[in-house]
Amino acid sequence: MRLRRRFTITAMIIALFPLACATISEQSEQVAKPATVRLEPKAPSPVAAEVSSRADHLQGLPPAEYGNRVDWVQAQETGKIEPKGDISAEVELEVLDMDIVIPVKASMDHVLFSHKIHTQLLGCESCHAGLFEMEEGTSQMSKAKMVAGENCGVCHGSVAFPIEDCKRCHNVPREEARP
Amino acid sequence: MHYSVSVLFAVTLWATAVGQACGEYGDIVIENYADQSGYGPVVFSHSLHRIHYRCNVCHEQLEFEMRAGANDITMVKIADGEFCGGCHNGQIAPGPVLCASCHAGAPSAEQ
Repeated sequence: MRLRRRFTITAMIIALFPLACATISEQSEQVAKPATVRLEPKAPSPVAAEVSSRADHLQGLPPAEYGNRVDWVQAQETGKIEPKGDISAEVELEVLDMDIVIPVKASMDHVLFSHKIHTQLLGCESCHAGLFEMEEGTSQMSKAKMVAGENCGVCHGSVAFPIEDCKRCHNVPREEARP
Repeated sequence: MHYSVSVLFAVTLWATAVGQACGEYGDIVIENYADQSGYGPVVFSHSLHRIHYRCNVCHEQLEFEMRAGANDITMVKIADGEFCGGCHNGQIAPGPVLCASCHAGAPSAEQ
């Protein structure tokens, strides 16, 4: 019984040790601050707070609110990352600079789809060999399918920014959309 | 009873205080044959690879299917230069010799 009690106390000490260290270091930091200096840093934004918790290899990349909190399009456009388009050779992908507006039946803004952004990463066949029809307006798309991992949901929801990030795609005001 | 509860409490508190490594959005757990071979599943980080290569390199040139679980990846194929072996061959990227670098998931309890 005494042994058990001793073990319990030891376990409690082990558990509380890191908390105690953290508290002590916080206190010592407070003591070390000179009284005359008034530091009033702005409260970090939710995005910034999330970014600070990212993995080491993602530090310094432009922030985003969803997914892995990195705006990969911006990272590539600004040269923060320079991903290769081939295993070993220097090959430029054939980029198609063509935006299309995908009309939305419900009340959300319409979708602006950038072929340019997507063809900087993938060839045509990745999307147009089963996922989407070539002819504009003929693909059967729905949010329900995307949630189930179809249509855009093949990537957007598992790897690319998730569909919760509505405005990244739904950004063409309904009144401005093409007929 | 008190003994078990206190140990559980201690472990929980320790884990909370110290912090644990956790996955991130885009990580894929690949478990085809690893578990039956006594290894943990592979934890693949998309973001780590995305920094160096565009999507087409793996999903078109190396023919990885887009859907998780759709690729029949084996160590033999990797050694033959397929799938991960397209880069992880000791020339472009480290060869498949440091098992735990990729097989970072916990093996099942039965092993």
